[in-house]
Amino acid sequence: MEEIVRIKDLGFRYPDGTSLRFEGEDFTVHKGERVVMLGPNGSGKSTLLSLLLGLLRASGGEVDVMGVDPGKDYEKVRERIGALLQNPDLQIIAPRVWDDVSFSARNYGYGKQKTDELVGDVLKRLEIEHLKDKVPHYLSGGEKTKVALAGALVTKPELLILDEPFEHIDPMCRTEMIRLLNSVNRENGTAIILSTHNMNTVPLIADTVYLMAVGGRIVGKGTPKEVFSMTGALAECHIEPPVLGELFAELKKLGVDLDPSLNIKDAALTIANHMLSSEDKAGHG
Amino acid sequence: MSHIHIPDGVLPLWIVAAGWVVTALLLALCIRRVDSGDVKRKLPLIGIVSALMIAGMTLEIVPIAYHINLSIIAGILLGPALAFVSVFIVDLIISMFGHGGITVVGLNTMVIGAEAVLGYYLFQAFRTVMAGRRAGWASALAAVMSLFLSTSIMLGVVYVSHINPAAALHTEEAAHDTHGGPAGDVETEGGLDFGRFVKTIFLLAPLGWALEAAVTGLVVSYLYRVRPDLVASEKT
Amino acid sequence: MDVSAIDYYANHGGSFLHRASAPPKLVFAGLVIASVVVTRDFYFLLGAYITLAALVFRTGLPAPRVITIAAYPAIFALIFAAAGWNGDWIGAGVIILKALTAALASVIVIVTTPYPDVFASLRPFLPKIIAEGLFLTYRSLFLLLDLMDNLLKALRVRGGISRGKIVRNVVNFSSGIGLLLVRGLDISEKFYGVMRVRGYDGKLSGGYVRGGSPACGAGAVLTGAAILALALSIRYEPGLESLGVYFVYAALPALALSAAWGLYPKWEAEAWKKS
Repeated sequence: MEEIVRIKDLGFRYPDGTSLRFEGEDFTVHKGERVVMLGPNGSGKSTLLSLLLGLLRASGGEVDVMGVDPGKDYEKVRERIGALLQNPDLQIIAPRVWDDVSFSARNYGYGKQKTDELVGDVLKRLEIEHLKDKVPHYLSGGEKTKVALAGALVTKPELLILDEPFEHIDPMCRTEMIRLLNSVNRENGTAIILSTHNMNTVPLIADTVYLMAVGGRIVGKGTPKEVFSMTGALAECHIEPPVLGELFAELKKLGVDLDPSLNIKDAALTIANHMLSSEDKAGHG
Repeated sequence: MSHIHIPDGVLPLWIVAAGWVVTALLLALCIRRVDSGDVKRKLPLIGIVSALMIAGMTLEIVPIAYHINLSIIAGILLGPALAFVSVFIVDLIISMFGHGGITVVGLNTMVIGAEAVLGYYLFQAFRTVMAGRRAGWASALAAVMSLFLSTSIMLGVVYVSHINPAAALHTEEAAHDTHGGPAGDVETEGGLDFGRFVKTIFLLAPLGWALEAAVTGLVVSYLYRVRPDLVASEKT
Repeated sequence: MDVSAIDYYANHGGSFLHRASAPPKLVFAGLVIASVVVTRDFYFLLGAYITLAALVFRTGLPAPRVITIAAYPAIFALIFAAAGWNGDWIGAGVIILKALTAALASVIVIVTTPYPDVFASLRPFLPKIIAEGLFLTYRSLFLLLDLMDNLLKALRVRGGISRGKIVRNVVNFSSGIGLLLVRGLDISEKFYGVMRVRGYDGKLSGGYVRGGSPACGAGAVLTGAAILALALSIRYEPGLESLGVYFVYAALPALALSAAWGLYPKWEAEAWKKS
């Protein structure tokens, strides 16, 4: 699969002198891949996303997004990238929902017909057509997130970058958003890079998970199952694995080594199968 | 303190028109001075500073019924050209809310814009004199002088309008002082003794200047501690 | 100047004036203000003010509140009238009514029209930086008002603002403004980042003005035109000076009917409903 993002020994220095170094595991994203970044505050997740979006310039190392250094030439690729930054309230800058969702299409010079078509599609997909004429300050937190996401998706980007998208929304809206992101990924082949503190969402949205420690070091990489079994790396990053991950880890300590499942249905099946096979063995014995 | 709160339809048409023409010319000059790349970068800042000015106008300092303009802070943060643009935006919006006449937006922009522009240059000058230290004091001094000058400009407008000036100032004290003053038809005559009026205003206005200067000085000194880059840099 | 209330009325009303699109309403306000500039007739101004007040009742909005918002310039008009006082009540009344009528005309537009429509209508007549600045200012204003609300509560709860302690109040208030400014600057930097990432090229607003009911728009323009025509007739047509008095006679029943209508919002299908 074609690689669309790569960073190597990337460094960043804040104005106050503190610095981050994204070293350790290679950070790469492939076309259509869903990547989740996990890490405590101070691990540089948001900074890395800002570096990928050309909002900050690296102090050292390499960053490559679709063949360009975003710190220098982000304009060349920005039409292919959609972004949802922290706090959607601050991402909605246009006066009305329609204006905001159509923002990128209008500013990239798409014609009126195409803009209307794209905006209509995305509003329908997110089920927010009824908000079209609303002004942003009368929207609820969940509606704001959807509007900001619609603005990021309107140009059908190849890469979607989301910085803590589940922060300001309730669990129902979160589930809906995950379903939507997965369908965009499946249908359009859109790659997703997402940072979150919400462990329980990770198995539902990630192909690959990166674990980041304070200072930016990438200490783990793998599928959600692999990463949530890296107990040492998780402890270094002060991350508590999802409840099911912890359950399988505890079972392992008790001598029951099962293939960890990170959704309730699979976990129930795994445990039930194990119990049945244990009973069988006991019965045969 | 130097708002013109003369109602719509009271000032002679020619001076209202002159206010618009002068403001339009100054706006054109300001917009030409700023390069387009800088405008894109500064646009969100113009929005925030203008919004802050409007928000400031909705507040009153307890227990004195006086609202601040924050025009000198706008000048310091945005530079003279963009601050003038910002003042126009503020005046246009507040006039729609019934806070001041729509026809006098041009004159209002001239007066409050003068505060912002003068505030910026005086602040830079005082900072040079003080060798870059004491940003708070430099801005407070700049505020007092700018407000003195803008009040003078406003009095000039009132004088040439041949209207009774007591109502033009945003100060209730001025009203008390002019009760029972010389009578006059506002549309045709000068009304009262202009010299006496000027004396009264310059006796009362310093209270407003002092408040605006105190707020400006404290805010700029706070800003200088947390974001010195925004205060110290020179702007167009 | 209750910005939040004004904005709420504009976005949540459903009256015939809310249904008219922005440009005819701006023309209406322009015509009324022109008539205020032209006239010197007390009775005409009284009639015009009563007519506008009747319109406010017909919007279904809380009329006393709207009329109070628009009465702000009257304070200064009163000072102005007092300063030029020569025993002529009519002359003083003209000054006060000029202020009230002009302000009410513009407030009627702003309480019945969401701000994107007002600014988008003005956009063709303004330089780009000012047009874009208007939109960003308004968007920023609501973010700042939220922050300011929290800040003032914090200052009050923690004893930062108290009666009689002027110096302490000024110092705390200034710190609050400083903090608000710093938070505001963060917001502006985030806005800039978002604008860059999303490809900003000078088109913040799509510039579209919501279409409205042509009949309601025409009604607004005709009302404004009739008021101006009356002002011009009274001022320049000999023998028509007394029309102003008849105008008051005509406007008073209209106000009474509208007020009655406004007092019974259930009569108006799309009347204002306070949520």
